[in-house]
Amino acid sequence: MRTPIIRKTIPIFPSDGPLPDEVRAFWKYMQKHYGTRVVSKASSKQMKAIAWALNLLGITDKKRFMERYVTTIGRTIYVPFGLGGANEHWNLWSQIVVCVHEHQHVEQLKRDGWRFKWRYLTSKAKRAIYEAEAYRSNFELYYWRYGKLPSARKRAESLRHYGCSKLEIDVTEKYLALSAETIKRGGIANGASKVAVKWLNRYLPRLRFRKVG
Amino acid sequence: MMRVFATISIALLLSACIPHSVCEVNETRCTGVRVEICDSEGQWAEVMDCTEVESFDGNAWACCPVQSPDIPGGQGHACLPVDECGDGGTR
Repeated sequence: MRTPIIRKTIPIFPSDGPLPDEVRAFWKYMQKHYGTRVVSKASSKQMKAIAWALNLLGITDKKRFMERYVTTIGRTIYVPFGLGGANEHWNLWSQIVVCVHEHQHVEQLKRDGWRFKWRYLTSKAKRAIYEAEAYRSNFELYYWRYGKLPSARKRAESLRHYGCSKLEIDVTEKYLALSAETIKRGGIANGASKVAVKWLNRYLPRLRFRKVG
Repeated sequence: MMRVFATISIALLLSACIPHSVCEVNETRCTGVRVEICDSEGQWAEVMDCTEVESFDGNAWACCPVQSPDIPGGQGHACLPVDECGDGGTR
């Protein structure tokens, strides 16, 4: 697979984060690898219908769903930001992280096929496990960037907005805590993370955590 | 759009069916090279396959019991480098 070419730019604050062009190049690379396409959430009637339904069911607020979440259905990724354009909810690094998270869902689709869609929609328990696995990519990239790990509990709590209860949140917390034991020893488990880190190591090594001394 | 509503409605109806529990929620185990956790429906779910873990230094990984204050309950099972596993690991 040909790797994308990035225009040379000189960052003003090299450690602050990726540049817009780099975010776009990264998304292009991941999309090409997985055969996905990106659609603006705001322009999608389907997304607006889902937002309305989730709001009616009391699962999550319409505005929150449309602005704070990236949603993947099949191989279409609905984004609430322009790629490489930061907004109040999505900075440039978070656009890279969510790209990996969503492509881990595509890995799940490839692995489990129609069962993935069915289980995700019909079972809180399975939805929590699928999200825990995808959030593991967030953890793997966080460790790559910062050399430490975020709070498993805090991350698990976000499943409240996925229609999950305390029981699913507890399981997700433990799932991520166990995954953290592997990650902090230098292991990467998720397929999408492995694909991502290959590109990040080559084109964004300046962002990678380096031990001092 | 009608298809979306129909799908969501059917999903909600079927989500009421819960399988018989085979494990205690949040219990963990090694099944060969796989780390498993008991999900909220009392079913075993895979956390990680240790043969699929990659690392920069080319470590081999095994499923092992692990203790840590960062793990809810203080202990569980995880993929660790084989030299950390001792006799308790499976790879």
